[in-house]
Amino acid sequence: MAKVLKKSFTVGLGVIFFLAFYPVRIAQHFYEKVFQGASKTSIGCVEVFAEAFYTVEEALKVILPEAQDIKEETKALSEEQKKSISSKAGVKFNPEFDNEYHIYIGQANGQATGYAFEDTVKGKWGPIHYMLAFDADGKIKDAIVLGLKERRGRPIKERKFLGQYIGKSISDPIKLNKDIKGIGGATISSRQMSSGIRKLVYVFNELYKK
Amino acid sequence: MNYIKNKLSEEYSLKRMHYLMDTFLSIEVFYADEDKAKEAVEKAFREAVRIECVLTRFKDESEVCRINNYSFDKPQVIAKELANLISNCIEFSRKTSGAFDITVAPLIELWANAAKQNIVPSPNEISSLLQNTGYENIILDSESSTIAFAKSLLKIDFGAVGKGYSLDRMAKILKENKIEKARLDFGGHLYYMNSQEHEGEAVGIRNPLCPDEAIEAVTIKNQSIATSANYERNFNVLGRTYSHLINPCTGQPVETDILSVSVISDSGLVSDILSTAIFILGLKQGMELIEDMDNVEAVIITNNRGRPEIHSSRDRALHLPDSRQESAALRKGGGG
Repeated sequence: MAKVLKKSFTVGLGVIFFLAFYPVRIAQHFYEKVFQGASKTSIGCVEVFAEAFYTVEEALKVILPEAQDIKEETKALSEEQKKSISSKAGVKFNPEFDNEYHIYIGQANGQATGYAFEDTVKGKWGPIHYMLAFDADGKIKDAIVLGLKERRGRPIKERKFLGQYIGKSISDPIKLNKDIKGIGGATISSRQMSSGIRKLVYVFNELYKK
Repeated sequence: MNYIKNKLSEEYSLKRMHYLMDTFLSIEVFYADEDKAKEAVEKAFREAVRIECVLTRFKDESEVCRINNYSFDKPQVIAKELANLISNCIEFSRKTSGAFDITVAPLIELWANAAKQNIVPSPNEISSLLQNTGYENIILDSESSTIAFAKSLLKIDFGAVGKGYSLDRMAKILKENKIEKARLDFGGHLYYMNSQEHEGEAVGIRNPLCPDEAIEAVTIKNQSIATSANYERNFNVLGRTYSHLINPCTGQPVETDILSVSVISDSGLVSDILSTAIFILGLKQGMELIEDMDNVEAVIITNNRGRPEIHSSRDRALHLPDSRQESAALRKGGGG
């Protein structure tokens, strides 16, 4: 008899616990369903999106500040020139982006003050559109990113969100749906960018220094 | 849509990106006056360019290059700014028992060449370089701003601190230009500026075993977070994988079960230095170092039988029972 009582007591306890906590799970489930859109954009699922930083005009003002006048040129390299640069610089030309180059030449008092190349390289998640400026001697002055595609990180496991925020401002309210503004610890693969710049240094010499 | 969202939160933002120090530097500012914001951002970029020109080892005209070429023969007078930076670095070399050292560059080059030629450097090569490196061989006179080297082969290199130092300087310039809120990202080293009214912001830390995923989140407010990790820049010699971080005390690449170290502090320079140093010191010594310091937190991720295990300096103080449970659960999971 005592055994039966004990068993029913345990089962009853189980049922009570189930009823007490399961609705929370259901509510959570519905909450997630209803607010799916919100949480996905804010906690950031796998998403690639484009970001624009400068227009060409704005960028030119920044990288060719002393220019009174800007002349635009479009130039192309011959297959031979491309081959020789490929072997010298150890870079590959992209048939999609390397057919011709848009060059902006800054001028002041009739003299060229700087050259800005508009170029695109393939980044990790998509093309990186940038501008590289040379001074009149062919030294790199500046590199500026006009726009790129980026992917934000995947969501963090919920457990982490609930319990483990650290940082100095512990008094700050941390909300479950608060999005993550950035991810530290790695960068967009910058290798493509450095080889793009190396390529343009040779292209500049080929087009303007010979 | 975007406009309305911005309007509701009464914040307009402007984002710019340059390619600097072989990586991307992006600055996002929130502003009331667009023209002033643009001006402030460009000033901040100019500052980063200026710092690169001073600190780079690869341009003959840079100040660091001059120091490296001539300081053995006679003391060189250097700018106050650089003298302060070097003195800060030396102080941290002492605090970290030499795990952080701005004179380690020749050893890094030795290993980089070894990787290219696919040979392991001989113990003789390493020991002879070890005799010619070491921060204690820098003779710095802060008062008269002069520097001299006690060894002929000594070279200083700011590769490990350039980004952090630039972030501090840029944040200062943005503040001077009345920017209250900004997000700076210098190749994965973040600095978020917020005024008193703003809340801190959540940032993610990458899962070192799956770098597309965030594994942990932290809030930062007027703080920087720098991460040293093993997932991006390892190298191979004779089929063996080595870490890109070289221990300045032994001259060997670091062998550790640490996968990544993120350090949060109110200075980009300090975060940069400590994230490198802790990686080299290891979990136990690294945590002890952090606990001895004020206003610095660290998140260390180790490899626990193929799974990432998170150790955070804050957990130790606040969530000790939780972290114990978690590591017990991880152990159980790993064993099963």
